[in-house]
Amino acid sequence: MKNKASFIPQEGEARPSRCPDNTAFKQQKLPAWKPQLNIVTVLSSFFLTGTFCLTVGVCLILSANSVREIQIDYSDKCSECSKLRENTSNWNKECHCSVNFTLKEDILGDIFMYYGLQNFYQNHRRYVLSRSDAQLLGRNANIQNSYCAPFTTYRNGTPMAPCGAIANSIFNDTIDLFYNLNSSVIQVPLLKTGNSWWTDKNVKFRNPKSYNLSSAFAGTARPPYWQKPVYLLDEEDEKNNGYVNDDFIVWMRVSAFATFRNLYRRIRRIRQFADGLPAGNYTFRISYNFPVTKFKGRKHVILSTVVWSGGSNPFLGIAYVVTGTAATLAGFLITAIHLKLRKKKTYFQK
Amino acid sequence: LKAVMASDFAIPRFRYLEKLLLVHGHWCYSRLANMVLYFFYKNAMFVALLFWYQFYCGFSGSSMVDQWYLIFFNLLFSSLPQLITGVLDKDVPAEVLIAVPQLYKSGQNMEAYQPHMFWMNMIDALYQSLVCFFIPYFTYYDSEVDVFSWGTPVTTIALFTIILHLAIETKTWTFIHWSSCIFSILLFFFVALVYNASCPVCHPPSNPYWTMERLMGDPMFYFTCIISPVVALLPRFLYRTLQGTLFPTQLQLGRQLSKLPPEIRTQLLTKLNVKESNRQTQPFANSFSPSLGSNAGDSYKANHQSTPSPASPQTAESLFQGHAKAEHPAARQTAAASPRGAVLYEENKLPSSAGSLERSVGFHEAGHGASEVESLPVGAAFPWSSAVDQADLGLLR
Repeated sequence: MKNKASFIPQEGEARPSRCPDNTAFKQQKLPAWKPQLNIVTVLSSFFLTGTFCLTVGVCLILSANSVREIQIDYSDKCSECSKLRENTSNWNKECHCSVNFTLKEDILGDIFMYYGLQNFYQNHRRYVLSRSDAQLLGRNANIQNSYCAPFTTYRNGTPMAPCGAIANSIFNDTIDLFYNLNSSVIQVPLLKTGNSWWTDKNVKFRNPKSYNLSSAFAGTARPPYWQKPVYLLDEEDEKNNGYVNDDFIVWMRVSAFATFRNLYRRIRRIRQFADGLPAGNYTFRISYNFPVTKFKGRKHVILSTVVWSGGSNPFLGIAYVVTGTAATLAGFLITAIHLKLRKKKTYFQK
Repeated sequence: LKAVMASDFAIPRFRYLEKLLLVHGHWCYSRLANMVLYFFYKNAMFVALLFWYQFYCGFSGSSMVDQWYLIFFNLLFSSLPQLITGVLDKDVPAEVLIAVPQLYKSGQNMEAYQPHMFWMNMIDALYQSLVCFFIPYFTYYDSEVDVFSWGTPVTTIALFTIILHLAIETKTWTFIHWSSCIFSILLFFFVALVYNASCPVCHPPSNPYWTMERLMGDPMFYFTCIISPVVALLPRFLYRTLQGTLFPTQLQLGRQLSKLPPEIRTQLLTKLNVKESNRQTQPFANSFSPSLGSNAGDSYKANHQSTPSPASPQTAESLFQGHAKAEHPAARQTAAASPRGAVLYEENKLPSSAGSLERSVGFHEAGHGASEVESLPVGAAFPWSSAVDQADLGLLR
């Protein structure tokens, strides 16, 4: 609030005027648009919103329905392996399991293979904290001061590389896909690189520098749940070894919910699979290492195509359609009210 | 001098009291009430987003909104538009407030801040936070999104919703309002892009490197950011729309009055004057000429002439009866019959304000002005509220 005039009369002196300036801003007389919710603006806004949402919703639903997805839960199908894995002293015993499925039609286009986990809370606060990004950048970081505890060093003082609970619990099942072609089984070629963010692989994760990778990690040990050290994650490809391993990078990107999927492999489009996956019988051969029964988790393997609007989740399209319908109905309601009350306008109406 | 220095408000002329009370007093109350409600809503809605996430992260206290967004949200991104609206918003124009002094009753009755309005506001905040959480949740459910790639759209949606909510509540839009809203949104994107492009390890534990840049290239981000504010604000917008037609408050009627063409406005106010004269509980009338342009030239002299008008002369008489206590010993006061009702005004006021609407006519007794306003019998029915029947409601659309 401001006073109209705040000068104090003084006798016999020239009064310096302390009035605020007579500008539009200080006198609160700025030109202003005063929107009024009259019938034209209201109806146009509701109907425009309604039509826009309906169109977008229909497009999104159509594109989500065009995604082909096969999701198989293999934690039940591999029950012997899961029982074996419940006992941690069996950690060095291998266990393989096979899951069959049939494609009735060809799947055309780029196909992505994901592993899915259910009831695994990667978004737990202390789990999310438990990493050392400086170490993952290849620096000689002091991991004792990081949040990696208790996964920092062994009792004999050897530091873990990489440290932290996220790295320790990496998903270590191996999934291969085989195609039954004319009574022979061929392995579907898969791409194991190119599945992570470019910035992650090239900026955020760097191997420590040395003349070779095993010497770069000299003096460190693998985390307790790992079977091989970090510099043996992928011996075939130097660019996929160490911290910059794609599976490792993808796992370190902690997911937002307890039910999630991570990109594992992509179908390599060569030979018979140049257009996608032809129809027929397929088999997943899984080397089951990741125990999920203790926390009632489930594991899935998912094959899916992708479209511009994400995956096969039609929720957003449905939300748009519902909103468009609601807005259009509200527009009709307002029109009805307006028509009913309009007759009450009498002699003042022009 | 000491009284002036010790006072909250000091006015040198008694006639300024009218504008101080009716206009600035009313604006002060309405700005304060609306901003307090909005402030509670904004904070409740934003924190509730973090609360809903606890159901899906094992109640571990994990936050999907990055720490720097949490810090800057209330400080940088959503504070400026709220500040501008709280300082500059005029819910009813000054002319109408002076012409219809009954509107001041809304402040006396605390009509802008009732307990039920507060709780409805909180329920609205709850609903909006549910929408702003669950639409991104179901969109990204069972996908490969990571915590902060999901939390950044949620923050963006929250910001859009909060600013659009303010946009629905703001009654006057100056260029400052527009620029503060657009600036806040642009500032958020700028800070997010710079923060997500700066050093990849300097911001533990989240280290959201390149998250926003990737999101800006994802069409689902934009679709989610468009649908969520629309769904969140649809009930409130519908309520405001229907309120203006079906059950408008006195203030809304005042706003609608100011938007009418001048002839209709004059007619309506005259109609109200006629109705008032039947009641005689009114000490003063809604007597003023609302048409700025046409009366600016009339000013002082015109009121002494008998100009043809829609009002009947008996209007002035009956109003004078009600103005029995308006007689004032002060000689400066001049009572004149204006075509639009009884007017008492000070002669020294007019020459300086011939062009300004709010001073073209006004009623005040210099001595008892303040008490007159305050001592309006509380139980008195105001013609503004009761005499305006459905016909006028239909008019005041």
